[in-house]
Amino acid sequence: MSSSSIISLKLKHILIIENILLLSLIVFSLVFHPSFLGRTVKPTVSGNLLAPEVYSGINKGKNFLNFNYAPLKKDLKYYFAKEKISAALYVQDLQSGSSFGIDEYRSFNPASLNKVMLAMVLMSQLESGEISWDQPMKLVRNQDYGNLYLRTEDQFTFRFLFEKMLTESDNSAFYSLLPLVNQDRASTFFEYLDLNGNSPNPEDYQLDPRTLFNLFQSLYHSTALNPEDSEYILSLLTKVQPSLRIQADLPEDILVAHKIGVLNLPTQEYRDCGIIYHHESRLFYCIMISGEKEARSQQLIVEIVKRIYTYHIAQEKHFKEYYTPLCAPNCRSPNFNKSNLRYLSE
Amino acid sequence: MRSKVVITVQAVVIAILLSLLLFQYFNGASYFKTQTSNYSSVPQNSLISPRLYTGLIEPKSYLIVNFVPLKKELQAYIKENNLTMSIYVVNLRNGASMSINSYRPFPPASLSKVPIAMLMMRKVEEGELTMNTPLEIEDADKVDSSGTLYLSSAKTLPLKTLIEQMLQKSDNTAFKVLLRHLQKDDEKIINTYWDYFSTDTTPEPEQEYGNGVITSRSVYNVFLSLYLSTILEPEHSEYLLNLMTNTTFEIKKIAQLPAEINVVHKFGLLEENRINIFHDCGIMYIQEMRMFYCVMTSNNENQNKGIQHVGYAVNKIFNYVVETRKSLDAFKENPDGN
Repeated sequence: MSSSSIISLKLKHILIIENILLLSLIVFSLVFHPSFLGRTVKPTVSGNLLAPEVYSGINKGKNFLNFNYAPLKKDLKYYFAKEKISAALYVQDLQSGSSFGIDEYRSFNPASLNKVMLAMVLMSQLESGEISWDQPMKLVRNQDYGNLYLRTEDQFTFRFLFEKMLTESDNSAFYSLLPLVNQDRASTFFEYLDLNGNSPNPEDYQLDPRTLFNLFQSLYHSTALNPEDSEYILSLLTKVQPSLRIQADLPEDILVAHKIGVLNLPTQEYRDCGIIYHHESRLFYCIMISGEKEARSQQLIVEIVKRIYTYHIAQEKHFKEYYTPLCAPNCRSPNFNKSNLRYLSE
Repeated sequence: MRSKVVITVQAVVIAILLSLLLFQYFNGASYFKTQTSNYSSVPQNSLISPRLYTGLIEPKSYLIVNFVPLKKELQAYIKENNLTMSIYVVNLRNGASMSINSYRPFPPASLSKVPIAMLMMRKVEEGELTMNTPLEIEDADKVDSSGTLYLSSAKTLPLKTLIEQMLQKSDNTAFKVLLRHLQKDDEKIINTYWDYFSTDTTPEPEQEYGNGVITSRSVYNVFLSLYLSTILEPEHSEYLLNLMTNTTFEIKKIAQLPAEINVVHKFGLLEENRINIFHDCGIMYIQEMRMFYCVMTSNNENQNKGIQHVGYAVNKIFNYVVETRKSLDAFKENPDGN
């Protein structure tokens, strides 16, 4: 056999192998095409329109997060009426973003919630190096709240006062730190979070529970501070006394990062805003009560928080348990009332 | 020589076919599995959002939270034009929101097609239906008020076609066919889970609206459930969202939005008992921002006026978001304004 005929034979073999390969590929593509032999046509997916939280694993698909707070709102409205409370409330599920409010745009003096605002502005100045943790500060004594004014020392570090201000709501600490505020930074910060209030008169400074959500969500998402600093402020807010978790008899694995505000004006004002942490759930709440004595306000807030928490957990449990087990195709009742969907048109 | 050319050409064809198959395999079926889950990097006792640890939100992001100037502008427009309008806007990245008459009840019109499509996909996931299950079209289903399926002589159409016609062309025939397949269990999701037919309305619904009223907030529950894929597998939620980026009603044109942004949306139009209704609700994808909006109107002078008012509101929402983002980005660079 000549060398050219050997080459020609080899080429023929290669050609045959290639043809077999090509044919196999075509058959393979056809057989595995979704619509082949009536198999299910899968939806075409382009990606990137869903929440990135789903892909990152923060929110797993089919988790039946709670969106429906209408029954809770009804219950609390009834409770407010029954107890004859003058109150405003805003609740937002930080995991799903759903929310509800009762009179949530009604403004009140924020009282000691100012301390969270001050803490955030000062933390921002710390981050830019304007002030330092160990900086000595002169104590400005104020007897309205806290017991720092009783101490004999005249000077404390910035850190000590910062912590006292948040955990014990100490007014002496607040007034000692106040002169440090960089006005330009504070005003841009207040504008960013819409914390300026509606009145041009500082004496009438008032905020509503809905706006105070801006403050806490900024901390929670660390939108204006370094994450470790937001985490630090929130951790101080979990140490606030008296413990709302214990008062409301919530389970031990729950954390509440919150701030209380009390104003002993003739109208008797009480506020409590914060975040309830339970496993993966994150619930923001802000309650503002007017016209009740401090002890009764505390009792009312404990009851309201208990109701919010209980409803949220019950709802979550209900939907997860109800829908997680796969429902067999014939387990449905066939009598769906479609009358509510009668508005057709385009 | 000729054989060599044929061999080379065939080799190239094989290579192309193989690469296409491999691409389909890695980019298609396993698309969702290949998305890296980095949730494990979140510290167990963290008090801040897990979105920060997973890199979904950058630290000091200055996410938009203040919608007060937008609210004032839209309130003035509503007053000036004496409109019956509800607006609800939510920044889906942090939950910050703006609402005007968001508890006001409206008839849903075609917005109901979104929950119906979701419930149909649920049936696919439960094995009750497949995307190509033929569904019977009865004569009573054929309505000419919206879409063109009523002209079709087909006795059956696959579920996939019906869902696509219903969401993209707002086809009422498809809607009526799919509606027949809803059952008691679906009602529970509509009413108890989403509170779609809202039980939380102010004022109480007018009698002529009937019981099936919705609010811009209750529409938000449905869109949020879809966006967060809370009742469906992610690929099915993604599929429905994708369908709603390409609909016959071009909100981008009406609201003069740039062509390059994605808007997942559904409109609703109804002229019945002299109630002239026009709604449009959806999600704007503007760079990394995800902005839910729902604008609902009734008692419009005519259909065109309704479209015009909704277009105006959506345009204002878009521009506010873009401008605010710009100024916050500038502030991020220079917090003290020096």
